[in-house]
Amino acid sequence: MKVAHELLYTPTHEWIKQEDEGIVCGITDHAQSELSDIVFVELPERGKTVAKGATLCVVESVKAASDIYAPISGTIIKVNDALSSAPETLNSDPYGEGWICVIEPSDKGELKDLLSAEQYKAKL
Amino acid sequence: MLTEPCEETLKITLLMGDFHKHAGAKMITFGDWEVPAYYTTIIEEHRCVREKAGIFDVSHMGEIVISGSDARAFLQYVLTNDIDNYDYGTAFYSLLCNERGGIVDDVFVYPVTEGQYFLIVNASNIEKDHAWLCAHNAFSDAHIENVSERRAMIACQGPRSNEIVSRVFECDAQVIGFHKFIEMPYGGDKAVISASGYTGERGFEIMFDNDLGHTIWNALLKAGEQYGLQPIGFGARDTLRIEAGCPLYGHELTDDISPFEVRCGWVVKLEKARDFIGKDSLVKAKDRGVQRKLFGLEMIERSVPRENYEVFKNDERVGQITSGSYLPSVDKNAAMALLNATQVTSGDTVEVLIRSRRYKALVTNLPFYKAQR
Repeated sequence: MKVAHELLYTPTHEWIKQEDEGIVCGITDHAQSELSDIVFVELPERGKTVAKGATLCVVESVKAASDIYAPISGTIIKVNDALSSAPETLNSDPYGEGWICVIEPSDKGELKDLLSAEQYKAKL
Repeated sequence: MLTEPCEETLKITLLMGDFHKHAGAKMITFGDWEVPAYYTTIIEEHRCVREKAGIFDVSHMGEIVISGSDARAFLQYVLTNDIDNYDYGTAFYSLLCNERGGIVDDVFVYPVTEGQYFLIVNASNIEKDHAWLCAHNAFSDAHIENVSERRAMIACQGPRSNEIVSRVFECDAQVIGFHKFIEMPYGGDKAVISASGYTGERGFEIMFDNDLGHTIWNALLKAGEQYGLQPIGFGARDTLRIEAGCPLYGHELTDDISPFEVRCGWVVKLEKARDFIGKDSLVKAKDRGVQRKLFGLEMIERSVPRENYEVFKNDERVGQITSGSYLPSVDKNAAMALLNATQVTSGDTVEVLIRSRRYKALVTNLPFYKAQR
């Protein structure tokens, strides 16, 4: 299972990447593999605030609906609308085109709670 | 996410468990059983059955033998279908109904020869059915034996299943008519080959003693290689049967659902010569007509409908979903739903409550998919 070196992770299999505009997040290769065929993403709402650990959005595989949790608290400023028509991108490119949204963090201090690639790998 | 199996409490047949894990299957729990959810992906396996062929380990299904000179009379008493309409060597679908006309189980009946029959029953109902049959047996020469633990079953389904089964059993499987079954020698023992299944495709269900399990599974895999055969998990088994509009006990069928509500009226033979359990209630139910009916739902707004989601029309609750999923061959998010038949009809637009939002769906007839024959 691929764990991208440059990203930070949650124990619930989300990843984040710090960029100028905010915190980009998605689900890990392990998560997409466990979910298998993803057929629908109920995307988060732009402008909504989320608390770290609360449900960010829902991903549906053929078999079941699964909650994806917010890796960090903040406001959702951008959403990957392309996932609406191509949810399978989460399977094929979880760390790239399969990004879910960008969060403007309300407390950057929370970043220190996230796992490094090495720490996340150790948990798999 | 999928339910992870909890090993110590789960039953595993000869074919299941480690055998599938070694084949790389993702395992899940299904009732009391640990079963393969998928080996590759559900969508890939689903398409493989529709386009080529697949094999399923369905050894969890129950088998109950009914024998003796009163076996036929006993079956006429417990089954809603009329055994006199079928010859030996032709399997048929039937229900076991309770006195209220609700469904105890749906079963496949195999009339082997005079005084010799067996029923294939749902895994989750094996003990219930066995107890039900024993409790209603007032015949002196009708014997009921639950042989589920020593019998196994593999389904081989899909357009190429004829060639594959023919090769393994050195016969011409193509000529076995729909729902006919034959007994074939195999490995010093024998297997029952039935032209039946649960996918909406041409296919076979093969029944045998547990010992033959690995040999037959491997022989089918090998013979099927050139036709693109793959092992298929329970995930695709479910999407295939929903697409084909096949009801599943515990979802579309329960003790409190009438056969007339769920497109099963055709196996209730009220006119048959002998009385049978539930007949009085079923006669009344038929006269009354149905209040609710099983429909198809196809999502208009994109989202995935699942079991137990509620359905609304003009803000009024009109029923709920019994099974739903993304359906790969028709490429739709769709469901079967038990809806109020006085308020809803095919062609209507309704709304499905998914989490906190309502999504538009079209009411349709079933099935969603029909194989080209």
